[in-house]
Amino acid sequence: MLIKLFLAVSLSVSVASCFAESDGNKSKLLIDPSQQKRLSTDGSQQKQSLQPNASTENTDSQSSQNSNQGNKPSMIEYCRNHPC
Amino acid sequence: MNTKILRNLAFTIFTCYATAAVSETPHWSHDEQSTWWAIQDATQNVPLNYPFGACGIGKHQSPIDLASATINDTKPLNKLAALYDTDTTPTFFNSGHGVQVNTSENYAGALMIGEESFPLIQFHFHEPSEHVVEGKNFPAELHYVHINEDGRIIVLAVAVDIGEENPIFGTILDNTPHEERSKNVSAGIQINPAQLLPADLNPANLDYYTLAGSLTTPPCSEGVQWYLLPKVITVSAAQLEQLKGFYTSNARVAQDLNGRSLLSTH
Repeated sequence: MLIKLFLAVSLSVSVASCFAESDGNKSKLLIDPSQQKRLSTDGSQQKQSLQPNASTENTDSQSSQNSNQGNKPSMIEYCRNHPC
Repeated sequence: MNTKILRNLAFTIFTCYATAAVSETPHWSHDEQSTWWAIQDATQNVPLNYPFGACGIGKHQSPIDLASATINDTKPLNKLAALYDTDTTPTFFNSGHGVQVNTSENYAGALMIGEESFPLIQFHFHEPSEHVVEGKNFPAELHYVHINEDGRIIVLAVAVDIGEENPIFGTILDNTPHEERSKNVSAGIQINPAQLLPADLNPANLDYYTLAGSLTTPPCSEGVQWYLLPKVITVSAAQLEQLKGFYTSNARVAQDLNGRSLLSTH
């Protein structure tokens, strides 16, 4: 009986330490979930309603990318000599 | 004959002066960041005499307060992979504003965004962090700067917390010269920038937050796409003090969101 009890306790301790170690290896989060302002993610309707906005964002992104074109040599050289 | 020599000499002097005027930017410091926009370049005419104007009038400026932005994780985003390998001849650079490592000219490491490749040009540190959460800074922040063939700039940012000592961070600090604007072209010291990434993230498929922003230092150019890792890395308290021995408070304050939201993969 005592042997069974000892084995049960040993197993519990080893499992607990295993979980504790895996937690210890995890890095801290940049933004804690309690500090995040999330857009509601429930349902496909929400996703569909976001599509027009999403395409607008793509257009904005593309235009900003285009405005940056043509500065390759100067920007690489600049960013090697300044923090950027 | 003498006239020709004098003319060539005058042209050479003019060319040297003009090149210097174009390539040198006015002096700036983080202490005066609220007036970066007003710094004048006396060698230029209107409107080029305000080379840092974007710092004041830009609407997509960086950094931001991450807690104030709405996070949108409903949109499918590109896969992000940091394919950094070892650089055998990096340059350790004291930029006059921070500790920086420039990759060598033939370095092949790059950030892959979907199918697009953005070569890693340099990475540097800010103390404290530039991006904040509810107004609170992390002890430091690491920025990987990538520029592709058509000049698009991508910055991958990683927050730095106090914790376990970071060996590669120590190597960088130990080899960075203390004299401003000095470079140390490493003699046999190799750096793998991937070793500074959070250990529990997969470099080949990184989770991230992303938003449109700018350079956080003058000229505050916009059109920079930011990728922020959701996990932090650590350096020891002693290493943070060593970083402060180079520069302290070299962080720009959080800028207005102006309607931007954070897109997220998770």
